[in-house]
Amino acid sequence: MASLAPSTRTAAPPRPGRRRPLTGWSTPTGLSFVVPALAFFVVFIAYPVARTFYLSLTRSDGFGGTYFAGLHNYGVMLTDPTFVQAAVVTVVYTVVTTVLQTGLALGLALLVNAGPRRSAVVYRTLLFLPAAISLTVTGLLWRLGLTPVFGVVNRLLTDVGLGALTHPWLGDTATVLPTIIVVSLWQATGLFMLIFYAALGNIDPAIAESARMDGAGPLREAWSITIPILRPVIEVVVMLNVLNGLKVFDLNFVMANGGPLHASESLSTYTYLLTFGSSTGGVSSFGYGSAISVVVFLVAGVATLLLYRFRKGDA
Amino acid sequence: MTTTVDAGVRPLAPPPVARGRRRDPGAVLRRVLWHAAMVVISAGAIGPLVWMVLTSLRPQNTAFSGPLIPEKIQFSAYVFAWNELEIWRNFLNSVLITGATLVFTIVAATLAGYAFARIGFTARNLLFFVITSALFLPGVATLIPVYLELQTFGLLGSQLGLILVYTAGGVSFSLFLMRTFFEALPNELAEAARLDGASEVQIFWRVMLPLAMPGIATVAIFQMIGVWNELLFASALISEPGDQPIQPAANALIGQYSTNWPALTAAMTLSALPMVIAYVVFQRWFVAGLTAGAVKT
Repeated sequence: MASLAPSTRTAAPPRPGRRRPLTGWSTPTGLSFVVPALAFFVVFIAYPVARTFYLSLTRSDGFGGTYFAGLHNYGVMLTDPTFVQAAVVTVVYTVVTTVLQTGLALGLALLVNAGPRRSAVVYRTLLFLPAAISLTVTGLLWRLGLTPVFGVVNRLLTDVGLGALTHPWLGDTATVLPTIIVVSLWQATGLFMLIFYAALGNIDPAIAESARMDGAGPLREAWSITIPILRPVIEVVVMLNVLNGLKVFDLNFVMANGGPLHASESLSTYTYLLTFGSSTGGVSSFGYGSAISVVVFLVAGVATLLLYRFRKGDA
Repeated sequence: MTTTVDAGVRPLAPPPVARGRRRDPGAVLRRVLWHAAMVVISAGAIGPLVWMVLTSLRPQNTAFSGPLIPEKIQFSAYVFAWNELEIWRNFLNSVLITGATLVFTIVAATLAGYAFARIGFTARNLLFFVITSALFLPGVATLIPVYLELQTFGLLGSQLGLILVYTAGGVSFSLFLMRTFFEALPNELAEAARLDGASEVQIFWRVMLPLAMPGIATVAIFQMIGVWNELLFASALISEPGDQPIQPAANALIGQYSTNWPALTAAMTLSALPMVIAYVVFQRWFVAGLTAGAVKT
């Protein structure tokens, strides 16, 4: 990693705007370098976002065309129990995974970092492996493992004498979402652990050493020294978790297809169901699906701004 | 984070204080407890993956009731999944889609990252802000129009369409990383080359680009894992089973082969394996990217 040291070591670089140009090139070349990235952005990001807003104001006429319907779709949303359910599922999932994922990952990183470095790298790699597996495979794997009778989870429970606890985890509206949350913790905690672990490696050992000299124990050291230093990283991890949570799709789709009875329906799986799902009776609800997409977009945007201001405000 | 010690280079010899502590029995006990805790947690992380691989290697009639460690190891489920279920098609589709997306993303992000880091041009900050604002964008917000757009272009159901969409989805984060890497390169090198009469093209191509290779590696590993593992757009934009990449194909199998666990887990293992290998091989670039992306923002 030595060759990367400059990027992780230097003090914050000056903002690009205040810096004098570093090459003889100027505007025409600069813009032409940006053109390919900009083209992808405009064609497949900016224009589609704008069109989502427009589509959300339209309805299908049933003959393959659409007509302008004002805020009709947004009105439908308020009285659609499935939308309300999906919104609740999305918010609950986002809040719970953000709190647990950040806390668990930080604790795990501190634990890994407390050991000798050589072993720590081995454990770090093992702990990360689930995060290298796609959420699709994760979902399928746990779907098999959680199968009511033959699933390895219930079999293990029976084998250790806890047969009373066996349960159709994904078939019960009360347990499906908590189960998906636990599986998502299994999959993603290693990634956030790795982020914290990388940041811990950047802390000057002299700081911790001096705290120890002053008689601070390991817990005291973590709470008073390490966590405050890691604060910017914690904020980034929280932001990533919130954004991942608001758009959650894969696990809910693969493990339970949003069911049973929409108990694991997220805003993204519901949009998918409305637009591409087979149960809509043939007419795709592009307008209504777009309106839900707009809601996800706005909530994610507001959450980003709030978290960003929170970070700025404390800096 | 204005810190001094890089994660990779800790002092080789522990300071005398630490060496003295090693003989302390309390420290030995702590070390043993630490290893015990780490083994238990690691087993929790990889246990399910081990179960997946073991299930793929057992005869089908023992999948539901046999002992967890199969008595007989066989690879027939892999042959079945690869040939009969034609997972090879989806595997190759994923290789093609991921490879092409990587090339497009790296070209676009390297050029733009260099410009944003080192060329003074009109509207630079505005453009950077606008393009990177997509970092917060939830994928579902563009799903429906992208579907309609590809339909208009005649690219719906085609792998090229998916490649273009993936490139757009990854380019914001990638150029953000590339700008960070280019900014960190010392300017003296470019100045020295300039004094030696190198043109700007030569400075970019011969001096800066080779030095930015770690950044490109980081962009590549992130984009590779992201694209290989993507499900939402892959499911929505390509419906023909033989044309799909491997994630939606694996997901579709469970409907038809829900009781053939060895075949299912073999397909799952095949779809997971490339990224596990990629991560283990390239993990230092991955960690470097996390540091640059998360620690510095």
